Formats: sequence, structure tokens, C-alpha cells
Amino acid sequence: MRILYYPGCTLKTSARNFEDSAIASLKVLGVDLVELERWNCCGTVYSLTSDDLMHKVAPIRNLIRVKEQSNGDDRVVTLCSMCYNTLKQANDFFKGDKESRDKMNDFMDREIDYNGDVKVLHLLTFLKEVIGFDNVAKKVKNKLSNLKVASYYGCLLLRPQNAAIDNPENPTILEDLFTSLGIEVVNFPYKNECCGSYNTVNAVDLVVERTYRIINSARSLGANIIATSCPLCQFNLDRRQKDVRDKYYDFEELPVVYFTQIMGRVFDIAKESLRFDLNYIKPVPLLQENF
Amino acid sequence: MCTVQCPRGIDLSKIMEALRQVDLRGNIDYTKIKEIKEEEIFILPQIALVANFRKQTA
Repeated sequence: MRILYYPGCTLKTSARNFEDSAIASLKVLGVDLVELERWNCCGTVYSLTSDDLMHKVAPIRNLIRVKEQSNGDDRVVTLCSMCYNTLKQANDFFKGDKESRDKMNDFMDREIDYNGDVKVLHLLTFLKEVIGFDNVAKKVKNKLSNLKVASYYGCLLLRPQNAAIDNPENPTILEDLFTSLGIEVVNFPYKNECCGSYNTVNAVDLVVERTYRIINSARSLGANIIATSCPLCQFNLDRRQKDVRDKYYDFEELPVVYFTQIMGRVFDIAKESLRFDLNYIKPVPLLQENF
Repeated sequence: MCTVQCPRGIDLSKIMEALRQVDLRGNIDYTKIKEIKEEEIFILPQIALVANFRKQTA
């Protein structure tokens, strides 16, 4: 199976471990992620301001690229939670607001007219609804019996309602995936709390406090690793542990990886594709057994 | 979530965003780009920088 894929900026730089591990894992499942040609910035954050149509041009242009390249299959898969949320919300807005749609189509007069019919899918939804977790389970090669995973969703996979891939108050899609992979999961109450997001640029202390609470909660419930799907959550929870350590002497580190890295490890994919070298805290539980 | 639970159906997040935009359109930068440390620029993911500039600068 081939499906169009929108990577976004961070997956091409600091989150190469996310992209490489996802592409390799999907290959095991018989899926080729076909990178969208001529993709541009997704816009990064969806603008809630109704008259702010300029900030919706970037995501809509990407969806027009999907239409141009789709050959009838109008679906696009994203990995980054931020890209997913922005593309999905922009598409829903475009579809539901005819006046703004006409205005934007007129503005983008060198593009084909778009009516909002592309389906934006996050990889987790694709795995659950298109591949099926039972089929994912058939590819398990390594039983990672030492792993106790706390799934961290953050906000962008769950809010607002139209973009939510699961129940926003008690999501389980990541846990369901890990259970199908034969991995023990740890349910922890901070899994849909805010990581501090972009405040990591100019309010590091705020992010340090969030990270301290989130990591401590997961650790106290027995987790030895955290899995996420958002490069910004991953950065805040992983890299900012250095700042947490500087502030709290009793703090104990916990590795934070992408869910695709765990999936790849279970599928016995070569370490060159899983890129654990890009994780700041060494994911020791995943590196055992002569890996 | 506040928007879902508001008995009067007010979209509070949209109102907060509108207030933010009104403020930012006064040409105010809450993030001082020149004050970001060089070593931070090298490690911060692009989505952090772009999202921050979108939300906190004019």
C-alpha cells in the first residue's frame, strides 16, 4: 500500500528519529509513505481568529498539493502532532465556511480550486483504522518484556473536538497500540496535560515545572520510558530534563522516545533507522539485549 | 474544556485568541528574538520557534 505523507520541518531536522523509525516500521507493515512533493510549512499553529485567512493559506496549499498528487486517494498521513492539528483544523474550517473558501480560492489564483475534501490522518489513526492493531501485532519479533511505557499525548492529538483522534479526557489509542505489541503500559494522569509547548523558547522555567511533574508522575507509577508523538512534547520532556536536574536535586531522569521507535524495536528494525542517538536521555530499556 | 462546558456557548479560546491578536497588532513583541541564547537556537526544534513567534510576536 502507498499513502501520501506530509513530514513538516522538524521531522527533517531534530526529529529525524521520528521520521526514519516511522518509515522503516511502516515498511514492515507493507506501507510505503510517499512524501508529498513541494510541501511547505504547515503554519505550525492554527489561527483561531476568524478573519486571519492569511495564516490558513500555508496549510491549505499543502492540501492542494495532496489533491494534485493523489490519483484519487485523497488521504494524507502526518506524524507530527502539530502538523496534524494545523492541517486538520484548517481543512475543517475551509470545508465549513464557503465565504472564506471562495475568498482563499480567489486569492490563490494559480492553484486549482480546493473544496476541503482531503482526509487528514494522523499515523496512529492510520494504524488503528486502516492497518488494524491486530495486523500490527502479527509483525512482533522482539518481546520487550522489560518495558513499562507511559503514553504521553499532550494536547494537539486531542483538542479541539473536531481534531481529536481519541477521547480527549481519557485517550487510549497509544496504550492499545502498545498492548497489541505485547508491551506493558502504565496509565498515568498527566498523559494529556500541557508540556509547556512553545513557551520553551522564552519561559524555560514554566516548561521545567511541567516536565518535572509529568516525568515524576510517570516514574512514580512504575514507567521506565515515556512514548509520545509530538516533536515539541518530545523536546520539552526529553531535553529539558537537563534543566530539571539543575533545579531539583532529587530528580531522576526518564527516557522519552517516539512511539515509532518502540514499534521499530519490536519489529527488530536496525538501529540505524531508529536513531536513538538523537534522543537526549539514552533510552536504556530499549537498548538492552545486544542492540 | 471551557468552550465545551460553557452554558452560554461562548468560545472562550477564540475570545482569548482575539484579545491576543488585538494586543499583538499594537506592534508588541513578547519574545525578544535577539535575547534567545545562541546555544538554544541550535537545539530548539523549528516548531517551537515558529509557534512562539506566531503567538508572541507582532
